[in-house]
Amino acid sequence: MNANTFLTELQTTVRHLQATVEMELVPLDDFTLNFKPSPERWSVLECLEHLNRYSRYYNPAIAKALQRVPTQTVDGVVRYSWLGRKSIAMMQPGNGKQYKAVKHMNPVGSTLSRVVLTEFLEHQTQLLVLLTAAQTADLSKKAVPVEFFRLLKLGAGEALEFVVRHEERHVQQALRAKQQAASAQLTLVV
Amino acid sequence: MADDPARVYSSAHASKLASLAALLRRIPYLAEEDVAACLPLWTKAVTLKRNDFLINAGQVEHHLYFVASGAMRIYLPDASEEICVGFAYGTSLICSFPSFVDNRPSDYCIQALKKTELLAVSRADFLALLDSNTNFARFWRMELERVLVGRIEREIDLLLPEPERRLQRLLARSPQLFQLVPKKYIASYLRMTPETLSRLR
Repeated sequence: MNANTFLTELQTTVRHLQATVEMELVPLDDFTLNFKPSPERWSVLECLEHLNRYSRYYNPAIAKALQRVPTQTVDGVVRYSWLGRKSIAMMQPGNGKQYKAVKHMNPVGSTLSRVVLTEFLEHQTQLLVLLTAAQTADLSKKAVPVEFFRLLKLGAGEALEFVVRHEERHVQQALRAKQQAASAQLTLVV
Repeated sequence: MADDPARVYSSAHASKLASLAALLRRIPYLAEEDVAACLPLWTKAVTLKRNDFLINAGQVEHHLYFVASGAMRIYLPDASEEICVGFAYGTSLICSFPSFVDNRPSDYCIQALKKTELLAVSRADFLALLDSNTNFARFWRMELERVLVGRIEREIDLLLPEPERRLQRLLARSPQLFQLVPKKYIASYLRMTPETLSRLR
């Protein structure tokens, strides 16, 4: 795929995610942000904390990779590896599949406050900077170690798309959690 | 101890109280002073592990509970089987109702199906609140009316000979139930075997 088209699409998506979180999630009260329909399902804050944990690893890892890879001529292309294609397909929102988060990425049981929202928005600002820096980089060269197994590497392009699709997936989940919190009411059961 | 203002709660207790307060504020005719009158009565916090009992048959129910999160089943421990008669999950109020109302031993068991977080108000404190606060009395009356209508619907369910119609009516009333409760208990609630339920789903 053409690198410019690719990066522009990701930028648009990240700006959309920023706007969604600012307008739909930041104004919510603490009850709605923390509401869990059942203990193992994630609250709004848990969805975003999960994404923050990924960003804490991938944002610096991608930044480092972009500094090291060769610069790329104008109108470059993004190529996918099997691993990259597979990882992105897994994270594609709406693919109907559920996966269990690895333990250190699972936020259930941690104490969370609204700071999670601020951190999420900071990560998006960084991500937009990375997407701009990526315009002059070779996006296909394997340079970003995969979080769960660092001997495996993704191209900077694949890694960026993975992060963005993953964020889309869990922001959608956070919006569903918000919906459930909004419809929750005290109900007597006998 | 219910009205001791110096009582210090754990942060878990405080966060459950905050959830309860948020839900009470959603009830349009409860004013802030009604919420303030009610909240201090929920002095007891309970956390149940999966399979723990909130109440066993033979015990007397002295509390009304608020389920902050989790899932529970109410069942009749019959000699041949455990007959499921109801479910509670996040944001429910629950008690073994006949026992709570008549102050007599419960026929039912209430068991946690997963980790469940609750707050409790004593029967005496809650009844005193209903006597002194007309807005809460209204809330309670409206909940009892809703429960009664639900019970009439449920009686019709049980009179229907076709299992698929019983299932359809339950799905229309509680579409989220299948995400919260294991199927074998729903099958028991619908008076059908788990195999029949699997075939219909």
